[in-house]
Amino acid sequence: MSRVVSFEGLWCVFEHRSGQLVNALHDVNFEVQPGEFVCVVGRSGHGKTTLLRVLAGLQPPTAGQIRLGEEVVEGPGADRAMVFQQDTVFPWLHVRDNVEFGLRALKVDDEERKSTTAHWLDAVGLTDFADSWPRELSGGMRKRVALAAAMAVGSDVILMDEPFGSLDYFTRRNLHDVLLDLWEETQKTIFFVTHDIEEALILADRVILLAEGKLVDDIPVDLPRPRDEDVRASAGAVDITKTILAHLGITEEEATQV
Amino acid sequence: MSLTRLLRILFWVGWAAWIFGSGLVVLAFSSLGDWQFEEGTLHLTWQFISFWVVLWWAYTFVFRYRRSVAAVIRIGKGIVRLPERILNAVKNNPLFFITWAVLLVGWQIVSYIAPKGTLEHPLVPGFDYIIYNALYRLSGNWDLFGGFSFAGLTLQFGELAPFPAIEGAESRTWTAVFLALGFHSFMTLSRLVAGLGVGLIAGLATGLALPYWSALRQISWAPFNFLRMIPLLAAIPWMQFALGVDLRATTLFIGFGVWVMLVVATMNAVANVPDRYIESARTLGASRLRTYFKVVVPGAMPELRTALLLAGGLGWSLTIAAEFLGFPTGLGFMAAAAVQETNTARLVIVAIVVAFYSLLTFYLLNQMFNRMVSWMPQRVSGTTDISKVAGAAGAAGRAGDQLHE
Repeated sequence: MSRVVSFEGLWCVFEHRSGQLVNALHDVNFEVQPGEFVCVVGRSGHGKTTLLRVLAGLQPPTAGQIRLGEEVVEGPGADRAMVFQQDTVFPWLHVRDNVEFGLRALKVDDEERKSTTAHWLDAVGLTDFADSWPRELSGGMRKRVALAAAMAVGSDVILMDEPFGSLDYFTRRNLHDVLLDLWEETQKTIFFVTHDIEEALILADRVILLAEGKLVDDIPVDLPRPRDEDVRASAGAVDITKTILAHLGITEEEATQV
Repeated sequence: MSLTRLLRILFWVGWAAWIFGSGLVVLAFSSLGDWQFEEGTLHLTWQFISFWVVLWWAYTFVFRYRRSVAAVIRIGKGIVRLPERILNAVKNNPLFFITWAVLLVGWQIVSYIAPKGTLEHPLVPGFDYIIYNALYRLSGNWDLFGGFSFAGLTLQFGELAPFPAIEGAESRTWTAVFLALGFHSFMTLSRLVAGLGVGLIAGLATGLALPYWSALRQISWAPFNFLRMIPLLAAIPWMQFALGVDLRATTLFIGFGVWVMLVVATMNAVANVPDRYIESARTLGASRLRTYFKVVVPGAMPELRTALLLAGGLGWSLTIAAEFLGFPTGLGFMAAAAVQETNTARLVIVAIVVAFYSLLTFYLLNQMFNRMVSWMPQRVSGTTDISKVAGAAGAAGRAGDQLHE
């Protein structure tokens, strides 16, 4: 059962130590249809992660609300599983138990839990490593574990906060393919935060642009898939890149300050 | 729930209740008269230890049959290979052994040239003096009320060496020397195990329970840090006035010291679990309670290793210090008696024996912990060579380093 995700008048204000107020989110309004792949793009410190954390229920908004269908987000839950920027695979659990973690929390019965876990381990290509410790895996493999754990809880919305940021180029490209396959198979709604425009062009149906906490543009990415090098070099892709850069690129003022 | 799982849970619950309960029993019944107290002490604490060992092995053989057979084989091989391992350790880490050699030879040389002083014994006794004039004369210094009983089996020591109370201190044999060292070590270990057991279990339980409620955490932070600052050694006379000179007193005293230290350390360890693990667990649908037990507690384990090793060290120093002031038995008593007689050589013996036991404690606690956190990358592990065991300070440093990896 997929639901529309609506952001309604979302504000998030933080207070600095000095007493100065910072608008991490400034009246954000938009709606995401079920099954959409949305990339949230912006420069660092401009509210991308805050938006995702509010959606995850890890950060209460100062004003406004987020709704999944009719239900208002009030706290973290397995209907919005999240893959984090840092390594969140529990080092004290074997790979299999990491993937099972959410299913155990949801009290899924033994048989279903085992088959679901096996399915997702297979989907991310880690069946052979099910009984390994996380420390025995590479960074890319640990990201696959985190992805499988998030997918396994069966939420229809998946949140990803610059999940591949710390990986090398080849591993990242490989994980993009894995992620897109999973997305096509499951038709989940995916929110993907990134500062990498190329990554957004490879993945997204739609790019949400944030600058200083405001939603400055909402760009549909209607390029054909798979988004190989030719597609990304096409006139349409270059136009999108230019639009994004126009909003986010270094301004002349900043350039002269450096 | 399967039968094995139920048995396992019953075993652990029973085990924890038994350890904690026997600590309480010791506390309740040890305030008897002098002689009865000593005998009561011996029986209760020795049963405490022997039942622990028997239960542990029973558990291991029932639930981890293959692993325990493998362990027996490994230990056997280890003993056979011991000379080879020592030789390898010398080869791999010659500096470590050179340091020891220099220290020992240097001490002996100093003993020849240092002024003898005005005491009955030399200020710097050489090893020859230590062995023949102090160690050998320990033989009259034991008293075991007839023998040890281990899980029901009783060993009569009167058959091994002349009983000092009957034969007098002049009948010296090396067997009696080891019985004397064994007796005082045993008394000290009894006090240590009872105190450390109560302190460790109470400390971990309190330290893990308090931070679950943020209000309790905030309320208890200051009092516990205040308690931690109490100079425990200065409180020993007070302990003796208030509780007497018996096992109940030492158990409460050592238990208190270890408890306070562990509560603070455990609360710190809990506070240092990275937020990202907790947040990740929450977005995967885990409740607060589940997150606490499945994420926060295991996440705090690596830092608890250091706390546990420190608790072992604290337990030792508190036990020896408590015995030093007014106990009629134990290694601390041996040291105190040696001070009375200005017997420097016997002080050296006590120092060596205590150092040996604390290294052993450190090694065992560390091994125990490695079992518990087998998921961590390990450097101080089952294959530890002898130089690492002996270099406890160095190993503690390494254990510390590895927390920050």
